Amino acid sequence: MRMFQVFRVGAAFLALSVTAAACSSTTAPSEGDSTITPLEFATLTFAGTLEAKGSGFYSFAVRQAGPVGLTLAAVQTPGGAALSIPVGIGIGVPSGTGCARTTSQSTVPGLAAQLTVTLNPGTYCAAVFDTGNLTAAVNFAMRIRHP
Amino acid sequence: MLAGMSSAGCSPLGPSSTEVALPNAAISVENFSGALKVKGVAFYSFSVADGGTSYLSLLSLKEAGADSDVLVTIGLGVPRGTACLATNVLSVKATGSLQLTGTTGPGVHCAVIFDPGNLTKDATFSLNIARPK
Repeated sequence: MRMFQVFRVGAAFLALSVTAAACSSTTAPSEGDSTITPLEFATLTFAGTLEAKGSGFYSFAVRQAGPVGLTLAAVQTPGGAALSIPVGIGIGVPSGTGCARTTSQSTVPGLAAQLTVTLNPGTYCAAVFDTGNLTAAVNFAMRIRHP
Repeated sequence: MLAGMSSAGCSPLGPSSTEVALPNAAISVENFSGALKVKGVAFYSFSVADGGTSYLSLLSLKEAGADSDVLVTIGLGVPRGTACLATNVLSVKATGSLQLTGTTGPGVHCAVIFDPGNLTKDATFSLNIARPK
């Protein structure tokens, strides 16, 4: 009985192998047959004022699954002087009166994305928050790049 | 549980004078309370797993601590940017009854309240959101 079962499994495997071989020999992919949809990205700018011990968030919709990048581009004094103070950035889901962060980190302003996560379609939020380094309000600018 | 509450004349959104049968089998009620400045706006985000109808009820509105019967606007929408993009709005007074209904599919939605210009003093409010789980 056991041998019969082994034979049946082996036969099934053989059949699959034959089928796969037949498919690969008759349906070779061509450039025109491609069904892969390239991701289209949108870039949003979230700018505002961050109070000491404060936070803010910006909601956005992800249309296709893919990487979402946050770039803290600038932190400045109200007078416009650039600052290199670390502040927190994060990604999460809008919940209640805030943004329930699922990923976050402390970072200084830069040119490249400091935080990148892969998200499924849905509504998310990008957050900026003081991690305890601010003694006064600052202005900030963050770029959100999402599919 | 909902049937019991309805027969007692008390909907999940608070006291009501008439029986209200809510069609959703599984409803959660969240309370959104806070401050509303003159011509101000406030919103509250919530997630819906299965979709269905959501209901808003303005339970109370107080201007400088006193009950107010002015019209404010409540709405349902989706969080976008730094606001709630409302697609369904209604001007209401704080009656405590079911006031605004809207279809909320699976995903994140928001309830918003704003003063169209009727408040003369900063106010506080209490808004119940009954939504599918």
